[in-house]
Amino acid sequence: MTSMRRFATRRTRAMAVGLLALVWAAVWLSPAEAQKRGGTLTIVRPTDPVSLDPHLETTAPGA
Amino acid sequence: MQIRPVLAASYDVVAPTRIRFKLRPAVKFHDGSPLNAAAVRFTFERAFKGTPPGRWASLAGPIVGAEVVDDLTVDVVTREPYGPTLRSLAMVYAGIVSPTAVQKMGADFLRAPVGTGPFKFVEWKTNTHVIIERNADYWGDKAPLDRVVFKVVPEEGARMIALQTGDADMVLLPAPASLPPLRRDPKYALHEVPGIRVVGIDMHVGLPPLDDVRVRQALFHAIDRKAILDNILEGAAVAARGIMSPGVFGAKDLQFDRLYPFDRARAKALLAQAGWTPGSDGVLHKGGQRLTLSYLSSRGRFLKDYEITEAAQAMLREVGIETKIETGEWATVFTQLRSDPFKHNLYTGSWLTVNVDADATLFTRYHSKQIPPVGWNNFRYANPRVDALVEQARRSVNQAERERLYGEAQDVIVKEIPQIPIYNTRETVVTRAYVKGFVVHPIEYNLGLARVWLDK
Repeated sequence: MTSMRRFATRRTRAMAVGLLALVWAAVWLSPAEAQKRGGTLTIVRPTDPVSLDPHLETTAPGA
Repeated sequence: MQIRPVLAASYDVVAPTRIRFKLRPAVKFHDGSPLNAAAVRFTFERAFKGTPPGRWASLAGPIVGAEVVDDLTVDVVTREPYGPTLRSLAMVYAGIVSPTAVQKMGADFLRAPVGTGPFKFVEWKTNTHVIIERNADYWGDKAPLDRVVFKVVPEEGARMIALQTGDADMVLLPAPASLPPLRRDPKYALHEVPGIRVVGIDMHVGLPPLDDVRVRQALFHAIDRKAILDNILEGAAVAARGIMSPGVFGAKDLQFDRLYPFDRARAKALLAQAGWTPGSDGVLHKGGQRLTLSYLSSRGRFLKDYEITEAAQAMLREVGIETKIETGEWATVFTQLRSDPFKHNLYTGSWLTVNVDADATLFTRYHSKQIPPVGWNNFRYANPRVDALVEQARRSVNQAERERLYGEAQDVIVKEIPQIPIYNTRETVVTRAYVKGFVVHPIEYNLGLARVWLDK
């Protein structure tokens, strides 16, 4: 009986710690961090690059 | 603008011609090979000693190369003290490339580059798109975006439609006329900052008749820059007040409106002084020759470049100067610009002082030894006094002295005026409102996409 109580106590404690960790995570993760989403960004530009080699030519995003 | 370290963790100026960099440890190129001092040395040798030398070589001043000290320590060496060294190393052209990839791919590297950045190359379909994707092994904060697709849409109206229909999330070089309603629409976000690019008309001073300064000054007086800004650029740019933008170290307000106001009568008087007289059709003649200029123009490379060319053509015709325009794909125009000899009298072009230091413009564009392909003196301009001033300025590390020398050089150049600067850019990017984290940079090459995310 004693061991079961200890187990229950340990289990309860573990659950409490876990719950606390979740709360801490929610607090530390700012709304912006939580919402940062990936996906594909599509950019339209007027011209093709001449080269993608940084030493040879620009890939000027405005061109 | 502040320079911040990326691949270099720290640096130390160990001698007037030597800066020692400690590289960030455990960084890998996208192909898994390590970033180290040997890769930096390889990069410099490739850029400076390749055949032909890389574009960076024409912009790097007296930087001669990199020397390995140990695996993560490298010295950047200059031929003489060079004030803009750090700014030069921060240029987009100074990216460190994977030696393994270059040696494996050879000429194909320019279509499939390998670096160390937060995004890595996926695909380039010519005249259609370039695709990059997140580098999951990046040493720093991982980019939120999974992928970026750069689509080629030459017509500005079509770019705006793509944004409105959702086919695009971001527009580069948006149509100026479309901006006012977008400012009021919460579905979109306008990102604007004064840029540092100057767009104008370059003149080949080595080719008659533009070897005559009176003819060049006449052309400047014949161009109504205000009309171009008001009617073509529609508020999307600001009038150029010098040959460099105000944000550039060493730039001077050359007061073009006072020195070269729009004045057709003055233009005609200068041309008459130079010996040109009107023919029966109004085109000027001299010694049996018509005053006909060959005029090269890009189309869509810079905001309203071709429209400016057409407007200039009409304005020059009003003073008896005939022009024949040639245009083409940017790659074709660019090839001509980088060639010698250059056969055109005029070119609607642009220059970005990419390290925000006057050296990158005044030396690279006006020194007599910087004719393409070595440099970018497309004008073929040569003045020994300007040569001496810009050489002295780049050797100095006293910024006040450098500024004074650059001011004097610009005072000489403005009298000989090998170009007609028209506008300074306002860098404008339009996005859908759900595009977050984007900050437009004065140097258009820096998109900063590693901090961008999508709130949708």
